[in-house]
Amino acid sequence: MDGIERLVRSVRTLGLALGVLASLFVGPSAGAQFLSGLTNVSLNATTASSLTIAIPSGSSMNFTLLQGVPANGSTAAAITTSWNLNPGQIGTIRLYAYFGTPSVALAGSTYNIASNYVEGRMTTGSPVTYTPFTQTNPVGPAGGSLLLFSEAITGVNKNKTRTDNLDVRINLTTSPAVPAGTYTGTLRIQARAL
Amino acid sequence: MNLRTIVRAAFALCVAGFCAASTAEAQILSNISNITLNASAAQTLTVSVTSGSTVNFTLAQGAAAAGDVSPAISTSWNLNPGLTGAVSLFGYFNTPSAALTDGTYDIASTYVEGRMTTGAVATYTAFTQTNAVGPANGSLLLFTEAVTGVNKINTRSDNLDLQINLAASPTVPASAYTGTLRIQARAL
Repeated sequence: MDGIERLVRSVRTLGLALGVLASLFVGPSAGAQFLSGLTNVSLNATTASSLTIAIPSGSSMNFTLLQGVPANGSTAAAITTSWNLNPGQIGTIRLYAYFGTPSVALAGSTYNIASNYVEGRMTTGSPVTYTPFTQTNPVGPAGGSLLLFSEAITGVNKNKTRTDNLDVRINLTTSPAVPAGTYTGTLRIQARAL
Repeated sequence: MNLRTIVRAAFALCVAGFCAASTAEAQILSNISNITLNASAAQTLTVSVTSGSTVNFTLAQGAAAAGDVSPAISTSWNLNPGLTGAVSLFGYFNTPSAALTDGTYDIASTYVEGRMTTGAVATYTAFTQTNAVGPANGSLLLFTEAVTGVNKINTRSDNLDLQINLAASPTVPASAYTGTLRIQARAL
């Protein structure tokens, strides 16, 4: 038995020696290439949703008021709305116009013209006929705004720019007499995507 | 309230809160752009004769003949008291020497008298004044009203009584005479 065990041990020793020799010979021939394990680098990029508006023309309108009749603005305001939105997160984009203080849409020295006498129309949007700025919407104060358009966001228009004309008039048909004088006001335009 | 109920309520609240938060997060607001609105209301001043625009007289030599009706004159204005101090109403004849005429004989404005009891002439007065409106010696100031913040927008109506007073005139030939009395307001 001892002889057998010695034989087995000798064989193992020989095998180990041959293995070492083999590795010494094989190593240098493949020599230059050492491959490590794989490590991954994750690349994450995000494009933020964007929604902007601009008024390329008509940002100042003049009105010659006449008691008992509507007075059209001297020009229409062109409003450009641009967006880059994810239709999976955003369903609709809406454009609003509003006055900060509806009871003082335009202010004079002693008299104010309320927003119910100021009317807007966007023939390419939702109020195709003149409608007073008396709506209550998510944008602007209660009773002082007007929804100008609403557009559903889909894969087709998720990245888009549109331009619409806003017509504004001051309708004194049913108003009390407006004192002679000059009046100024600011109509604010804002879009909302939800 | 046992533990299970509390847990359920808390879960419901969490779900509700999560949903609300998600909705708020999904909203995107654009920038705000402004449109400036400039409006101007011009000053106005108008007069109209709402009734009595034709007055008939039956003349009587040596006496005053009152008109058969008193014209009602409506005066309306929308004025800026910072720019205008007063509104005045005048009546006048273009040609004082021929206030009324039949083509041959003229009755001068000296014999035509007016009265506006709600205005500046409480008693009959001849149209012989010289005013800012009308020719010299051919007009009559009917009222003057100061314009303030209280009455900067106003409409008033006044009756103008007229008579042709031949008490001191030469004899007027029998005939039919016609004339035009002009009414105009002035704000200054």
